[in-house]
Amino acid sequence: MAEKNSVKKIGKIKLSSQAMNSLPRLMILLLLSLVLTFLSPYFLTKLNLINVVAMSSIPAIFALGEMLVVLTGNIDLSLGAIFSLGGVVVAALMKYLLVPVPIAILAGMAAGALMGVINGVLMAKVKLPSFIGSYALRVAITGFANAILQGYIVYDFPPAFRFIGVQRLFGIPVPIYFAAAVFFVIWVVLYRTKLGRKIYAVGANPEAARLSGIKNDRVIMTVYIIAGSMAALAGILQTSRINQAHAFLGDPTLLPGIAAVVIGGTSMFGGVGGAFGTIIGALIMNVIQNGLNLLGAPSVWQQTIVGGIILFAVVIDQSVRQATAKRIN
Amino acid sequence: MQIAKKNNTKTTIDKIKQFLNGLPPLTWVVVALFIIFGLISPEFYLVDNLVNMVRRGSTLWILATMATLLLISGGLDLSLGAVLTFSGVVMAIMLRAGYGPLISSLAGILSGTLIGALNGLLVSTLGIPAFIVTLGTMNVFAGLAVAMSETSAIFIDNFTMKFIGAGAIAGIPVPVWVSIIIFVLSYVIFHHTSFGRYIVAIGENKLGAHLSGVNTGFYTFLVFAYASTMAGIAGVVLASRIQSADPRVGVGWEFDAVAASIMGGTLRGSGKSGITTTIVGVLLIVILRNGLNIIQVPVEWRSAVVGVFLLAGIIIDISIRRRES
Repeated sequence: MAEKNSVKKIGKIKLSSQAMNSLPRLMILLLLSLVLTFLSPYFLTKLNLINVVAMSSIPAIFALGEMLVVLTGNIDLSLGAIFSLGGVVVAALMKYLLVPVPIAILAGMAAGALMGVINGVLMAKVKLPSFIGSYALRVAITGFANAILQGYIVYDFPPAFRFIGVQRLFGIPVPIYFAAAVFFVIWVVLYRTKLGRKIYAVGANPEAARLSGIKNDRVIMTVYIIAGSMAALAGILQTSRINQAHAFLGDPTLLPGIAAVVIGGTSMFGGVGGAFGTIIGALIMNVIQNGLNLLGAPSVWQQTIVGGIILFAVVIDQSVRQATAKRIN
Repeated sequence: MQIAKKNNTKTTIDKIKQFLNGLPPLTWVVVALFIIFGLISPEFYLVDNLVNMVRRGSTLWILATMATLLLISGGLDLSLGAVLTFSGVVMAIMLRAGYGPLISSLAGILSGTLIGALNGLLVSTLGIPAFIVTLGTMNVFAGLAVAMSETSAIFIDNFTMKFIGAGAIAGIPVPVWVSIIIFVLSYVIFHHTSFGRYIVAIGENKLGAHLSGVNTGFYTFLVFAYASTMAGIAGVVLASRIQSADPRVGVGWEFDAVAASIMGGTLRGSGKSGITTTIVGVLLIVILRNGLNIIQVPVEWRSAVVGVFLLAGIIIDISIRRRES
C-alpha cells in the first residue's frame, strides 16, 4: 500500500516537473504566435492554424522517435534516411508489386524497424559512437533507397493510400490523428511502464543503470527500433501527403527534427526531457517556418535559419542548466 | 662473417615485419581494391586517372588529417564540409568584387578560422557536445554559402588562382604541395609541441588533463580553430582547382573525412600512429569512389556500396581495436 502511494507520488512529481520544464517553452510558442498575428493577417485564421498543426504532425512523429534515442544519451542521424526509405518501400510495393495499401504501409514501417535493429546493433553491441554509426548507416540507407527506385521519383498513388496523408476525418486532417496516437503511446511508454524508467535511467547514468541490473543494450536497441519505425511512418505519411516518393525526401527533415527535440527541452546528454516538450518543440519549429513563409522570406535562407535556431536553443539550454547547477551547489 | 650477414638480413626482415604489423589492417584492402579495379578495367591504371585520384585525394587528405586531430582531442567536426564550401564562395565573391587573389584567398581562409573559432568557443566554454554544435554551424554556413552565391556556382577567372589549382612545381601539382605542407605542419605540431601533447591528454582524460594544469578549454578551442583554418585553405585550393565556387561542393565531405580518419586507425592505440596512417583511409575512399565509377557500377548503386563499405571498414577497425585491448 505504502509502496503504491510512493509510486503514485513519484509519478506526480515527475509530471509536475515536466510541466514546469514545458511551461517556458509553451510561453515561447504563444509569444511567437502573438508576434506573427501582428505581423501577418493570415496567421490567426482557422485555415492557417489547422494547416500549421497538420504540418507539425509529421515532424512531431519523427521528433518523438528521435527524442527517445536522445533520452538514452545517444543520437540517430540516420532517421532522415529512414524517413525516405519508409516512403520508398511503400511506393515500390504499391506501384511495382501491386501490394495492397495496408500491407505496404506495414512493410514500410517494418523496413524502418529493421534499420533500427541495425542501428541498435552498431551502437549497443559494436559500441560505435552513435553519431558515427548512425551517420555511416545514413549514407548506406540513402544509397539503398535510391537503388530501389533506380534513381527515379515515383508518384501518383491510389486514393486509399492518399487518405492517410491528405483527407480529413471530422474536419481534422488524418496525420493529426496519427501524431496524437504516437504521442499517447510514447507518453504511456515513458511514464507508465518499466521501459520508460529504464530509458531515463540509462540516459542519466549508464554505469549506475547497468549496476542496478538494467540491460542497457536492450534499452538502446529498443529505442532505436521505435525511432526507426516512427521515422518510417512519418516518411510514409509525407509520401502520401505530397503524392511522391524519392530517396532524398527525408534529408531536410533530420535537422528540424533534432531542433524540435532540443527546443523541446530534451538534453543532448540524455536522461532529461520528454514527450510533451518535444511536441511543443515541433510546433515551435513549424510556426517559425510558417511565419517565414507568410512573411515571404526567401527559401534559400531557411537552412541557415534552422541551423541558427539549433545553435541558439542548445546555447540557451546549456547556459540555463549551468546556472541552475551553480545555484544548487 | 657469414653468420653476421645472416643476422643482418634477419633484422631487416624483422624490421619489414614490424613495419607491416604497424600498418592499419585496412591497408591490405586498399592494395586489394587497387589490384581488383585494375584487373576489371585497365583504364583504372591510366596516368590521367591516377592523377585525377591524387588531386581528389589531396583535398580529402587535408580534411581527414584535421578530423584525426579533432578525434584525438575527443572532438568531432561535422562542419568541415561546410567550411570547404563557404571559404571557396567567400574567396570567389571577393575576387568578383575586384579584390586581389591574395586578399581574396586570405578572406576565404579567415572565414574558415572564424567558423572554427565559433565551434571551439561553444564547445569549450559551454561544454555542448561537439557534434550538435558543428551540426548547427554546418547548416548555418552551408545555407549561407547557397544564399550568398544565389544558388549557382561562381566562376573564377584569375591567373594566380588558376596556377594554384592547375599548376605544378617540380612536376607535382600545386594542390598536392599544399596538402603535403599542411600534413607536415600538422605532424610537427602534433609530435613536437606541447599543443600536440595536450591534445592527446585532453582526448584521453579531460579531467586528468585539467587537474594537471592544462588549460583544456583553450586547447580545445585552438584545435577547432586550427582544423577549420586548414579546411578553409583546402576550400580555396579546391575552388581554384575546379575554377568555380560551387555552393554545394562540400556536401558529404565531413563524413568522408571522419570515416577516412577512423579507418586509418585513429581510434586505435594512443593516437600515435593516427596522423600518418590517416592516408590509408583517404586512399581507400578515393580508390573506392573512383574505381566504382571506372568499372561502371550503376550510379544509383554507388552510394549504397560506398556506405556499406565504409560502415564495414569502421566496424572492422573498431572490432580489431577491442580484441587488441
